[in-house]
Amino acid sequence: MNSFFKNVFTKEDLISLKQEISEIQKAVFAQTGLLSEKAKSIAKKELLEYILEVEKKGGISFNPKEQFEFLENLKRKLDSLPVLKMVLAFSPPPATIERISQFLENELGRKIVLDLTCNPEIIGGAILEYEGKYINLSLAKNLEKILKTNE
Amino acid sequence: MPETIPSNLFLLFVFLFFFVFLISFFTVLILILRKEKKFNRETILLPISPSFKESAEAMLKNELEKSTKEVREIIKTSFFQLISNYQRETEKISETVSVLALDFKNTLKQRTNEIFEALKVELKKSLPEIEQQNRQISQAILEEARERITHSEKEIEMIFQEVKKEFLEKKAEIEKMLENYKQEKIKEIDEKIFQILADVSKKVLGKAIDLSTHEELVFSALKKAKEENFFKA
Repeated sequence: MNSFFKNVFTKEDLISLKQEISEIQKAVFAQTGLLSEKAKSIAKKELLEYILEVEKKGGISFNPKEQFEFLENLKRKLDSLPVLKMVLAFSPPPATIERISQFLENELGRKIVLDLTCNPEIIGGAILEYEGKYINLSLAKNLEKILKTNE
Repeated sequence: MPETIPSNLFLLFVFLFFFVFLISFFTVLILILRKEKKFNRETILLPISPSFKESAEAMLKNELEKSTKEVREIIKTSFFQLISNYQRETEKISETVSVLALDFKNTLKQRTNEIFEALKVELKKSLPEIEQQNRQISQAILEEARERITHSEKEIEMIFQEVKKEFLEKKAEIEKMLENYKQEKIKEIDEKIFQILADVSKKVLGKAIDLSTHEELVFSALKKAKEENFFKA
């Protein structure tokens, strides 16, 4: 059902998808017909597949206003996704980002958008910030603890 | 007194001289007048020959000179007599004065000796008392000196104690400051060492960690966060 944001892993991905939806919204009132037809030249594969899937189920009418509202709901869904701020010691490649995202989804049972920052000072591990909470699980922090304990 | 005697004598002498002169003058005058009366009473007015007149005048002149000479002699004699008297009186006075001076000197000497003797006696009498007073004064001075020394010693002791206290306080303060400074420096050094170690470790580890290790570290951090209920609302 939620396959339209299947490939949204980071905040950047989320912004990009929202921009994509906004572009489709602009085209809603310019043409007549199905929403999938209007989004065909604008939307990427995942979003277009999702729109088609919903159309098949009769979830989207020909009414441009309803189409616009449908797209607006998608944006709201995206905005409602929880964001996890992560500070990493390296710049993770897309595969690593995907694995992290998958890991979190599997472990927590819900989609989480990653807001990633790179800081080599932390050596390794991660510093996490989520819904107003903060935890430093970096290697630098552990090293400091070890050094202070052995002082 | 010796100064007034010559002035009185001089006045006396002047007076006598004047007196003798007056007597001589009147004597000569009386003699002239007596002769003239005698001549007037006994003689008849006869013409006087020039030779007689000359002899009379010469006689008169002679008499006058004679009288003057006599008066001079009298005055001279009186003067010498007066001087002689004056010398005698002076000698007498001088002798008297000498006697008196000697007497006065002796009396003074005697009186002085008496006073000295009296003083000696008085001194001998007063000597024990003076000695006693001296002893008392000496004792009092000694006591006061002792008291002052004792007082000074106490004051010195107090000052010494105050200085000692202040010194110890300052010493403790400085020691504390030094200890604080030492601890501060040790802390700074520790922090620096820690910083150096951290920096070195970061550099060494940062270079040593590969991508897969990074991923492992990230996943282990996420697992730990889950274990600590970090993702729960």
